[in-house]
Amino acid sequence: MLSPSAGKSISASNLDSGEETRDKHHPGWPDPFPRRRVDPEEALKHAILMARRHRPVSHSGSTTPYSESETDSSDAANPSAASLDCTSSLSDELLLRVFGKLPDARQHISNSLVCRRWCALCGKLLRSIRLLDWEFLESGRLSYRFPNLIEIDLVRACVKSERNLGTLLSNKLVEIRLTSGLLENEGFFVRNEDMIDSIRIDEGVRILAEGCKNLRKVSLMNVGEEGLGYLGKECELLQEMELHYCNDSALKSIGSFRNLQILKLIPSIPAIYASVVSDIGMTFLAQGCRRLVKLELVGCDGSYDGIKAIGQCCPMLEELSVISHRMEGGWLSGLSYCTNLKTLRIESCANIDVSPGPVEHLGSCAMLEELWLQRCLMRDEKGVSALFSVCRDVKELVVEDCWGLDDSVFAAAAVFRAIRSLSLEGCSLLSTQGLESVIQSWKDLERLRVVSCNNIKDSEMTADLATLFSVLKELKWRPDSRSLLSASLAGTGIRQKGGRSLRSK
Amino acid sequence: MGKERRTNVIPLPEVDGVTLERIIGFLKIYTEESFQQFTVQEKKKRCDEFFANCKFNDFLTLASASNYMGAQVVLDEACQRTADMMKNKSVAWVRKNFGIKNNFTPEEEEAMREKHEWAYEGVDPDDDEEDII
Repeated sequence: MLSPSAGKSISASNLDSGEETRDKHHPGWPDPFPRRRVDPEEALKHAILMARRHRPVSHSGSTTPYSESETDSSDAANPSAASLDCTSSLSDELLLRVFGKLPDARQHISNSLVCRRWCALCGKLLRSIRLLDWEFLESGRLSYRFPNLIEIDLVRACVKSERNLGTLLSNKLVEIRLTSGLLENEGFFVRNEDMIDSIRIDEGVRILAEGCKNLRKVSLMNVGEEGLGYLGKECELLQEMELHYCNDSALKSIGSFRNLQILKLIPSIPAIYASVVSDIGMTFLAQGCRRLVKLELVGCDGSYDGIKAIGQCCPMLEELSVISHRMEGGWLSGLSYCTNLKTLRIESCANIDVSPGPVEHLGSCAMLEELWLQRCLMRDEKGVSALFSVCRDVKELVVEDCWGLDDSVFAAAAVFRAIRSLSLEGCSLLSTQGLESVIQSWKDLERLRVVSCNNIKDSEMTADLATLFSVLKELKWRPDSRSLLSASLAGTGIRQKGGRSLRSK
Repeated sequence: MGKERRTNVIPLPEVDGVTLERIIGFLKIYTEESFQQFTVQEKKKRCDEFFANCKFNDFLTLASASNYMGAQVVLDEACQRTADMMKNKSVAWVRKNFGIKNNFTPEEEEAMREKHEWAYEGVDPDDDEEDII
């Protein structure tokens, strides 16, 4: 049975016994944290315990009347109809079935305030939660009320902040509430002092792991080796994890997760926070998580050795994303060890590889099917052509919002012999000629999508290019907003296919 | 002890006569398999017919009875319709219309509301994939 460690963590300020105080800001309202003997934490525990006790015994189809029945109805008007609890005749199982059909999980939270029985039941239904207050977890209440959680996001609770005050910082990777005093933060929005310390986080994670054994997806910040180890041991179903502000030493125990398949490591995010995961951490990861299928590395240091280790030890790795990397030059050749890699994504990188080394030593990923380049700086020809060389067997290339991709850099793409699909968006330096000279060498091209590439002009269209377009299965041609191509190609019999057909104007 | 004169009577203490009749009526027309053959619109139409003129309590009574009798389709629909009725409704509304008495003490309720607002929020799986710039 759970023993919520409420005693340790209740903040001291609320436990002083004394008279009820009025809220300072709203004198007419009672202070939300009244200082009296019955404090909110205890009241809550009591509420949950009572809810459990009063739950009627459930067999399917039984009609055990609810024990705390509303025989004395406060509703004097109509004693029979509305005031009798019409759900009292339903067993727990049946009521759970009804709740289970509610489309919005947030309704469960609202419903848990209705009465004790509903509180206990709705808690069981909640599968996914985002924690905002660390104390709610470490007091044990979270795992007590929501034992069937499958998914939990703890990141926001790991950053110290006052209740709902402060600025909310959110981007694609993280969402946290910042306290004031940003200006003193030496270039990062969140420093180490702003986070709850590792030891306390580990303790909270331990409590979580003891109570919620069905977890499949967890997002954590600043967790340590002990916390991770415990989590891995207790939650055997855990498949997906996101680790913010992690470091090498925490990753020592990542091997305790036997079923981990999807991992996102975010040691650092530019301007937000910075920790370090280097080759050491990557090697722990490689040795510990043999079943990894999808890996995202955000802001990781490391080099060829780390990537090689992962490639060699994780044979099931199919998807790798490298985001804002800080790796040393030469890491690209480590990719060839990822023999089953199907998708490679490179995102928000200031450089691809500063010193990739000679082409002969690069190797390639033979199973690769998709290469995604998003929001990268692609000025270094050597790095880009090394990347293209490693990915020479790719079938689909997507380039989105990349700077510096001009004709000479793009020329390296001629190495893609088997490519079938190209999508270019927001590549403003590439010219029609540069594009044409590459795609003419691609014999298997079937799909082409060119959107918002301002240097590609319809007026530079050649007959050869038009012929090439006519054999494509799919074409989306909108390099600028007023493309005349569709008008001039009307009636040439280019095949149309669903939503990707040529748009008429 | 003499033999029972009517040997085919099975007492159903949990189900009242009216509800029983309704469910039997449904089961006479459709079996599990035959109902699944309908398209989504047809299913909806037939369920609407069946549940026409149902008051709030009726859904729950039907749910209970059909659960007992193993009438799966009626059970699913009755549960679904009950859920639809309480969708997006506030705590006070639910208490009033379902006739549920609030058995939290004021302190407990206050504390729960507090925690609810700032200790956690339930997340729909879709939320995680939204791009927030």
